[in-house]
Amino acid sequence: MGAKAPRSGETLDGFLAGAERRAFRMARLATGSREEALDVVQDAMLALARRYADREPAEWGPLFHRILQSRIRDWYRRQQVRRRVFGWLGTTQDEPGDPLEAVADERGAGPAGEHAQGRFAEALERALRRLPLRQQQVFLLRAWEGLDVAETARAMGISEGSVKTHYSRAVHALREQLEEHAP
Amino acid sequence: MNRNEDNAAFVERTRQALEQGAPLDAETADRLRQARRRAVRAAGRRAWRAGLLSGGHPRLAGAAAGGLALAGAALVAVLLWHPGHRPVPPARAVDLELLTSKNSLEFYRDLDFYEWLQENRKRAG
Repeated sequence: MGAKAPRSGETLDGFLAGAERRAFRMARLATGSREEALDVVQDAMLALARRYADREPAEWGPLFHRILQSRIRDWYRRQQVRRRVFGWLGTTQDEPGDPLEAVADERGAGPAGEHAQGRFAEALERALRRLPLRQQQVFLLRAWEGLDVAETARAMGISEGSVKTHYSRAVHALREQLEEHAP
Repeated sequence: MNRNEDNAAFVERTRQALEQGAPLDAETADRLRQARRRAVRAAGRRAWRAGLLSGGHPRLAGAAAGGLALAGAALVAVLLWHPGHRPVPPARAVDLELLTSKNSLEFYRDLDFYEWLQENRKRAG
């Protein structure tokens, strides 16, 4: 299990208290909105509690990440449907392939967000927002949550090969974007 | 420093930056706390309902589940072997098993995930 797997005997409240801050930040990076991120995390917490509270505490981590990633994907797909329905861009045809592979968040890429900040953490957050969703979430699960390749693949419902590819691309893209902050 | 070590150092730096990242504002922290409490209450209600169904006795819950499974098996047997009826196709037998099981449909949807968890635990333990 990952580096932050709960110990046997841990309460659900203790597990969620330890996971909620990181879960919120992962969801916020994915959605770009505090309200949406709070909804996603609340949904994931409730689903874990309603369905899996009686499982071994060691299982809560993988289950919670699987639910959280599923909620984030659902949110993205709903956004896509909304965009298609309102269709103000005039595109009504489906994009070929999986849209989550290619979607990149442009928030923060505007001139106001591009001013040099000087702080690595802020630059990192902006760079993470620009990554395609899958690269972003794979990177966060691997680098921040400490999940291994297999655990990340299970949480995201993708193959281990895809995890390796997304992770490698994410590291490459982040290094490139954060080059000026190199120590 | 080779490329892999370089990447590892970079990833470690990002991990520390994320860990030390901006603290949550008071309102967000409070809403997360409320969400957590709602979740814990929901888990409590679920456990209470499960206890109520079994009369607070885990063996009764097991017996009830066993009884349901037995009834399900009997139903499958009747449908499979009753004269004048064609045997139930295997897929329908599986559906019947799903309907009579005490596990939720969600459990069956995530079956491969549980198999993986179990394998993982065996390897770790």
